[in-house]
Amino acid sequence: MLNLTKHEKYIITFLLFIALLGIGLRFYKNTSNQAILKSPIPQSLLERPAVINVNRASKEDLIALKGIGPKLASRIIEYRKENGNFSKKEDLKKVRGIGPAKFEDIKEYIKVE
Amino acid sequence: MKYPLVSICIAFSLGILAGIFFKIGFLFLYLIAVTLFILSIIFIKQNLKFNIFILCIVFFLGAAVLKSSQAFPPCHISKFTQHKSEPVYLIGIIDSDPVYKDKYTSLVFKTEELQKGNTRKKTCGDVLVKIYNKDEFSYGDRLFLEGKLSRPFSFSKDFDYESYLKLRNIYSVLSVRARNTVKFLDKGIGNPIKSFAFRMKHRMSEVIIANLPTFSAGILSAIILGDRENLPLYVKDALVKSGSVHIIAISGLHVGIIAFIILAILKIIRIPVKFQYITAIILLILYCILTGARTPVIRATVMAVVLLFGYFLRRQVNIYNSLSIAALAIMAVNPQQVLDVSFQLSFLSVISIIWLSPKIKSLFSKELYRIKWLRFLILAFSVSTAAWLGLLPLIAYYFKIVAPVTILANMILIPIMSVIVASGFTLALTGILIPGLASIFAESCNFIILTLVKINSLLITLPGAYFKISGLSLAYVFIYYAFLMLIFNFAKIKKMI
Repeated sequence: MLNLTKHEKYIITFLLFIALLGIGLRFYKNTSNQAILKSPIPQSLLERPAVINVNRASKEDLIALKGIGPKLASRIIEYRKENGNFSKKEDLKKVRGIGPAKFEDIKEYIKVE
Repeated sequence: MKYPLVSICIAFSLGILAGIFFKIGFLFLYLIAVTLFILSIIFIKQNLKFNIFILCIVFFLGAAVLKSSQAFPPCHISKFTQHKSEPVYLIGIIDSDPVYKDKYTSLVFKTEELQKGNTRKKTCGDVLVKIYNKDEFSYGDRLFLEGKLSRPFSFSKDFDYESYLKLRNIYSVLSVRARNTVKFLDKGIGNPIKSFAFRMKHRMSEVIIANLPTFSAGILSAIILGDRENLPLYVKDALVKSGSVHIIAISGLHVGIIAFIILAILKIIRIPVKFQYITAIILLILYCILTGARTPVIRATVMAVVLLFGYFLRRQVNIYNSLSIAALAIMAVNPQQVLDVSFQLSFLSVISIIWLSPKIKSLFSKELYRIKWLRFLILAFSVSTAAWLGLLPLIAYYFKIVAPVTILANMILIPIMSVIVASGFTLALTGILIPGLASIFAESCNFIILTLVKINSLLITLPGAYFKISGLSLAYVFIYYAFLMLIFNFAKIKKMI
């Protein structure tokens, strides 16, 4: 029927053994793994962003702004370190990655102090 | 038997089907498989008994694999999803190349955490997310999303959306409106190979859009990148009517042409032969990921990889065995693919061409083969007819259409499509490496695409090109295939009798 040589029989037997073991273990893992309950998600993620002071904001505060991701937040902080504090909101457009459109999205949620 | 993997593949798929249609528990199937395995070791020296036990083990293994795939861990997101939508917060990673539609972005989201009310849980499993804002998303972004989670539901009786998503292991959908919170927690934390493949796809897509008119760019993106978002609907409809819609589904022919181009380039730059095969294998796998890793392209890629690996090892490759490996690989990962129309059409088309095309060729007189262009015509006709005969009842069953013009359409359109794939790839690669030359290739590419569309639209206007049917019973599908095997094996059966 299958016309297998001796070596092919051993290989198929080995592969079937591995497959049976793997399926058994996966089914056991699926049926016994419990979802872990944790404390609620941090409030900072849940709240809508308040107005933040870009001269004092941490990376996490900046990430909370719409359209600002981890890399852009890092660039804002680096710009602040190299060039000093922002004197007006529009200075934010000097940071690479913040163009007119992005500035429009965030200007209501930022202040400069 | 020359094709042992074929028997194993058939046994495995029958096991999956038995698991789908019969309500038998996993433990029962698993214990039978283990018992048979022990028996097979005891009788390993007795060929007939061993073979029977092996096939039986594979059958029950198929059913067990299916049951195992349906048993979700307690953390699976589907366990927290109701039919009625409810507000939730989700944290997870984008696990697909986001698709930008007019009003929303669609992506597959691998969940990590869920908060519903005051309860926060660790979760696993994928959710299909629709985000109704203009942010730019990438594969590998970790996001915090606020939205409404629900089970998918079908809007139309003709299309079972829930089953469609189930075949893709998606059991929940999340709708994130413009007013809902979307926050980026991290970027670029997905698989680096997938990330690279998607970046290449975007780069090629940008080149195509920059150098071709919108109409042709939409068609070329569908043909070589598997991106059908900008494919004009009436073009797709016309291809369905001519039975040629498979030219916009990346499959064996596309993979074959790309493998040929890759090997040709590597040969020109004098890469050693063995490295050519390994490089081609790596690039084909990247191409498979880049185009979204759908069933037909996975099937074609596995077969191409097996073939190239065979050349690398200097071993003869048997096409039926390599087809079986592809089927087993796909079914082992997602057993429910057996019910997917794309899976069925993809494999059946290859089987039909391999099995039927030589028999159809043999109907022609050997005298005709002396003339080169006639030989080519007979080959094209045999392959086209074989594919049409093999897929006719399935296409009638699923799509309620019969298109006799398919034979002629495939004979004309497939060669044109091959030229489009080759020139489209040349355009995309030239656009990336030497942008100044791209416009030259763009002109010829555009011309060929417009020619294909024009010829296709002419073909469907021929009398009797296609006709729609109200439906076809599954029993008729089986009767048709039994009849087909009877006709084409008549001489063999007569001899046996």
